[in-house]
Amino acid sequence: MSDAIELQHVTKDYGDGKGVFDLSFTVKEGEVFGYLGPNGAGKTTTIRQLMGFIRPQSGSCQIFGMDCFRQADQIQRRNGYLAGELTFPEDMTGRQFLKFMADLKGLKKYARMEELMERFELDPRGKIHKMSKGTKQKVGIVNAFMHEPRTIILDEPTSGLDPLMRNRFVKLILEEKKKGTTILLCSHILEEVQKTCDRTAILRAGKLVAVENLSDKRQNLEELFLHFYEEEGEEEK
Amino acid sequence: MISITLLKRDIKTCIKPFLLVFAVICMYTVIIVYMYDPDFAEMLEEYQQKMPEVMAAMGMTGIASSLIEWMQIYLYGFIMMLFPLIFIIVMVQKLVMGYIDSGSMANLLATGNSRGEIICTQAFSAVLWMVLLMGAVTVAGIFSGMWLFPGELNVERYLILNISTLFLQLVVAGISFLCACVCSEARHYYTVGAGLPLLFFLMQMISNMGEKLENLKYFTIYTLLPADKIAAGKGCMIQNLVLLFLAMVLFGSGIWWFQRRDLGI
Repeated sequence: MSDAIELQHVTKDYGDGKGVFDLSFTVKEGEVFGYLGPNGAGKTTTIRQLMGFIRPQSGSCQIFGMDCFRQADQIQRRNGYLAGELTFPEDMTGRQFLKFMADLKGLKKYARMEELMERFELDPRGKIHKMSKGTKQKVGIVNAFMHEPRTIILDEPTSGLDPLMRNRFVKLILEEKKKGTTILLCSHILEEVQKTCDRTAILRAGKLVAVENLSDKRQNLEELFLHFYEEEGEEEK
Repeated sequence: MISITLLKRDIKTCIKPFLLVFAVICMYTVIIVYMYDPDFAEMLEEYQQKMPEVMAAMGMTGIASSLIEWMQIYLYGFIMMLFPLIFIIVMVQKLVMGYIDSGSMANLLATGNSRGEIICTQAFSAVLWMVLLMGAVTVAGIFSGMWLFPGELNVERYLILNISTLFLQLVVAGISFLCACVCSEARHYYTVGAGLPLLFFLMQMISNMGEKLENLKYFTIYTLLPADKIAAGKGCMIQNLVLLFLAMVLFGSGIWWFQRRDLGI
């Protein structure tokens, strides 16, 4: 399998220890890659670089061999994205927004969009700014998956979703995995990471501290996570 | 280089402020044309004598010998400068700054449209709206002139005046646009993108009041619209070229900067 996502010695320093430092990892094509870390560890900074919103100060960031900043448009044509902080135009209904996004993506058919809406029981008629957190999240999920992307970047995709919907989301990820979609999944819900991810990277203070192969050993992710989390606490003491 | 889908969306987001500003300018235009009447003219000239500073600040000085000069004195010093400026500030906020400030620019960029396409579409929208606004105002002015004082309005000069005004407003829009492309937060945009044109406008008003402060006119872009000379039939090709050049540089810099900047979205 070839590499779908590749970061090499990526540094983006925001000062005060914020940012990412000399970050290197690869995600293979068709892999579901977990990306964990405490708040402020640099997960979103990594994602912004993958999305081409910001440029690394040094190092390179590539998806399918294309530079994430310079060739962002080519990458994004076949990439799905769900932001950690969802922002939608206030005046639009769910359906108007999804149609708008589908048109911008150049989608000819709305079949997949309708199917996903049904699957997550999304009622897209109301104005987005009046929707609950969970409903907004569903709009975001449909938006990220509706154009059958080759790579998908998800930043806390299930926040606000109820357990039933979370379960459906896990199923969706597993289906996409079967299709060969490459997925980078940032999440604090360790259970869903364990259920879906082939490998999981743990980030702390902008540095990669571990990449674990979860399918090999059925180890407790929570323990692992806390282990790295607490280490940081001890250092502070 | 332009996304039609986004352009359609731009029409929806800007139509309300457009109609509002157009209605206000239209109303003033009709009222001022209507007042081109010996009785009212005397009244306004009286104002000029009683409070010369205030009237001068708004560019309302001089005695009109024709309808076009009348309109220039009472519309193009204040109303045709301030209301388009308000529209520009709101429009650029909706077209560019709002997307960056709220983070919903991420939605647009995650669709496979390049930054160049997105920002060029927004620049095109901004220019289009300004052309539409000035075009609609021109039509309204010509009609009210024909309706109230048939044969009085020098249409050719009125057109030239409005074309020059359009060029000036494009420079103002360019300033706001460039600021929106550079800023990350709406408050910075309002400070510079709206503050700078307002400052130019105030300088113009103060310099109109004459005396020593008149030299301020060398520091404001509004000097590049010699409305009184245009109304008197004098050419202003050089000013027009300078305005067009400035507008292109401002919009071009905004587009260039937006494509290479970091976006915290």
